[in-house]
Amino acid sequence: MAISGAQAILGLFQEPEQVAQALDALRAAGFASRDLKTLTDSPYPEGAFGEEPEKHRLFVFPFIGAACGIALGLLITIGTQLAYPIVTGGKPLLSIPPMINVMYEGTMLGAIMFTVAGIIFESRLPYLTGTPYDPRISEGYLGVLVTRASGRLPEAERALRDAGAVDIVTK
Amino acid sequence: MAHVEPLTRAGTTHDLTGRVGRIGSGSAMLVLGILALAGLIGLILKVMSGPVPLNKWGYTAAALAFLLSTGQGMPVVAFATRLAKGYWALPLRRAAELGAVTGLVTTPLFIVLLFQLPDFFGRPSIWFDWPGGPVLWDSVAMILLTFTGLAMLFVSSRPDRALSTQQASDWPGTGRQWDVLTAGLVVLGAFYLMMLVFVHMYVVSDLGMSLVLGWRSAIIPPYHAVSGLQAGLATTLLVCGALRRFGGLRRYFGLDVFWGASKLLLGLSLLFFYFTWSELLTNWYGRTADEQFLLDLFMFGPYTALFISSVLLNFALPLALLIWNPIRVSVRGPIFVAGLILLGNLIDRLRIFVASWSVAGPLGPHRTFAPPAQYPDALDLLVFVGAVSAVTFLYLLALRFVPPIAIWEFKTGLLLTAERPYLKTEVAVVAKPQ
Repeated sequence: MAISGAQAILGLFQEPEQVAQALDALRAAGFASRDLKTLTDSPYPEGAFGEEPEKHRLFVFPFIGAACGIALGLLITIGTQLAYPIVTGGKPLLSIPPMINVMYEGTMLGAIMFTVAGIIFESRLPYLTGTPYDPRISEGYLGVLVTRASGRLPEAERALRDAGAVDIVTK
Repeated sequence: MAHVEPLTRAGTTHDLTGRVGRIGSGSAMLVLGILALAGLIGLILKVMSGPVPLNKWGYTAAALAFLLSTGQGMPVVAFATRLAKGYWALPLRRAAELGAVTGLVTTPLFIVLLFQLPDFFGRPSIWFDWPGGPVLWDSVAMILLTFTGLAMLFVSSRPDRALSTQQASDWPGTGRQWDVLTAGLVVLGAFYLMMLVFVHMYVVSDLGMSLVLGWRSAIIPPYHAVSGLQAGLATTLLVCGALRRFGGLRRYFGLDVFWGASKLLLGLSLLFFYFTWSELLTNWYGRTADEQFLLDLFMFGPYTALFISSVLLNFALPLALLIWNPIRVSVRGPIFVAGLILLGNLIDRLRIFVASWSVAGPLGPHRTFAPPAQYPDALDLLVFVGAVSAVTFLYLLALRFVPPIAIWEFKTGLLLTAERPYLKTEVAVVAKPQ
């Protein structure tokens, strides 16, 4: 298969052990860990293939959302009451129990919206990188994707094939 | 007995993707759709006839509370078992998450009911005459709950929906994506649970307690939420039983699913008793005029039969049945008990909301005697059946777009489970990654 000019290369494997071997071989050949990705049809335990854990910042999103939401809740409750103070029947201006209801809703609104946005963003969806893919991955095959492999494609292909790749896909 | 091939990852993918759109016959959906439409017409007729007399909304409020407890309680089962790494529950999580579609029915129903409420100004409630309460804030909370449930379903089914398109842009399955998906579902699930208990509080406070002058209780909102979780688990079990029996998924819904769930069901049934007993004791020993009235209205007056049935079906019978190993460690036993609990929850919601709306009215002197039991009329039945049918219709409709079992999650289970010989028998060894 002609692979000249391609930026990324995908090796398809049938066994997880082969994927681990391929990643070892690619790293030994000088490919950076950040340029190696495994594509699977279900989550494998972290580090199963010897890959370095990919950091994501999903957990930051709900906190930012919650902070924005509670600020909005405070603005609606305390802000409006203080801006337009109307004392009714000598009761306190700020009524804490219903304020907590409103602030809770505001906090949850922000946290939930930001979490959904965070999941989409941190999953990099839609995945429009243009890297090679093979539908057999969804049928149980495993893929090792080497990105930024321009100029070193033959080397990458050799490492993938030596590890037992059943097919090589380029784009 | 015919030889059954063990489940494989590739075979599972092929089998489950092939079932998308094949569960639920067209004729059944047509009937459900017609019933849902009839219910909608019934609701419109009720609304057009005006909000008074208020007691005509009791059965509609009970329908809402029942659906909130059952259908919208289901996604919590998926969340809880993910959080606890309960691998026995892998097959039932999608069935549980699909319960989120209930929100598409309960949200408009809740908003309609909120507009029927009597004037809240000066009324003892959680709102203290706060602007927008209860209509605006209750509506926002319910919309948010529904959105969160549907977001959970959308995120969880994303990899499975990509199977049918096989496009990299849909879900290539990088390690980072799986990490984000699994973490994101736990976070969303936690928020769903937080919203669900909050909405339970709103529903029982604003559609129940605030309508009964003198009803002050810190027990009822958590009681409503916990019995809702119990009903949500029971509904999940019944749906799994139906999918196993009628959806051809016998191989996926094995004994482990029902056995594991039955233990939770037993625990939740005990909690039902705790809250019921606490409420009873508080009023019994308080013995103020209001408390005697509450005992009369909800427990020992016109709705005694409902109260006794509720305790029997939600606590006594589940306890009496589930303590026995042959029943708990079986498929049919937990399904049968789940059916009892579902019926018990329906009776309990009727008891609370029909009784509450039967005494609803403008502020005035507190009542001392409960009015006679109120029976449903044709419109009540139409709305009730229509609402339940609409939820069932939406559930079956959703099954036309997503597999009945989360394929990616189920395959993870296959990946981490192995049969190994141990002495003279074989045992399942389950790996639990940290």
